[in-house]
Amino acid sequence: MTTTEGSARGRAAEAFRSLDEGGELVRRRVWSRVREGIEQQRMRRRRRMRWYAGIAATAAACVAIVLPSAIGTARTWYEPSQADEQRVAVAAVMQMFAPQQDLAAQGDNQGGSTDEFFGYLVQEGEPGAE
Amino acid sequence: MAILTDAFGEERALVYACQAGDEAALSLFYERFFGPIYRYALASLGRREDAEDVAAEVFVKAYRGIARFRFQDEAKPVTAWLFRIARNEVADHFRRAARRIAAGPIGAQQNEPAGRFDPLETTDLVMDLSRALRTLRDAQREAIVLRLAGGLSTREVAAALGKPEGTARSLLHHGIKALRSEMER
Repeated sequence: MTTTEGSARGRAAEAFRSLDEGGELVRRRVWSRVREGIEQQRMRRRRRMRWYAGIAATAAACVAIVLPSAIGTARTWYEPSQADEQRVAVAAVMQMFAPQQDLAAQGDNQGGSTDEFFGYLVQEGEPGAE
Repeated sequence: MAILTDAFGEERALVYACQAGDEAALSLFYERFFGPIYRYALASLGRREDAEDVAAEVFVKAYRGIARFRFQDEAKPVTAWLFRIARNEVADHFRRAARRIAAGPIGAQQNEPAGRFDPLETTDLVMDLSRALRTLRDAQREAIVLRLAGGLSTREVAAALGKPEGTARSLLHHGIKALRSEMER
């Protein structure tokens, strides 16, 4: 660095340093604003945290209320309806065979076993049985 | 100012204490960095009120973000991070001022300092410097203000500008040269 360059730099640095006049007062003034800003930030953070906690509590309450009722509804929709369907299906089959069962009871097979009943059905079902 | 670069370990300890939420450390952090940040803001903006606004905002943002600050290497110390915040704040200030000028009445335009020092509150030397700085390229002016007003080392200037150290050195060299010829006129 040349001497003139150095002196220009020195003058510039001196000029910048002179900007510090009344520095202590400015420092304190800015510090109080910084504290204020930090405090505001903390308050905002606390408010945000409370808001999130509120949302979480509401969500938990909703789940606690809705979930059991949803499970109950799901049970009503699926499990009983399948059982009903099965019961209906068995009842329908029984109903379908009821006349034959009656006939079997009235005919030769009176008082016969289930095997005899099914034997009767097979016999009746064969082509040319009638 | 040299204390910023000489005591890297101490700086690290101070940052860790701030990250832990130590109130005394926050105050010490402010004491340590206020001068360079304020001078940088004042040299960039030219008005004490604006410089105070920017400096306050820089420290509030620094406290908000310091928990996320990580020491990657010694070339990018906390000083460079803090001055990057300051640079963004200064740029935001100019953007806001430009919007105000575009939207405001003519009187507001005449009062807008636009980074020039108020002649009523500045010495001749500062006025000369301010005039000379305005003739420099933006990158050169920024490098010089960071180096001389902010008191950063060349390496820290490079980190704050986000440029290689060689580029920062060249900006400073040519900037000082241009500043000299302007101030000698």
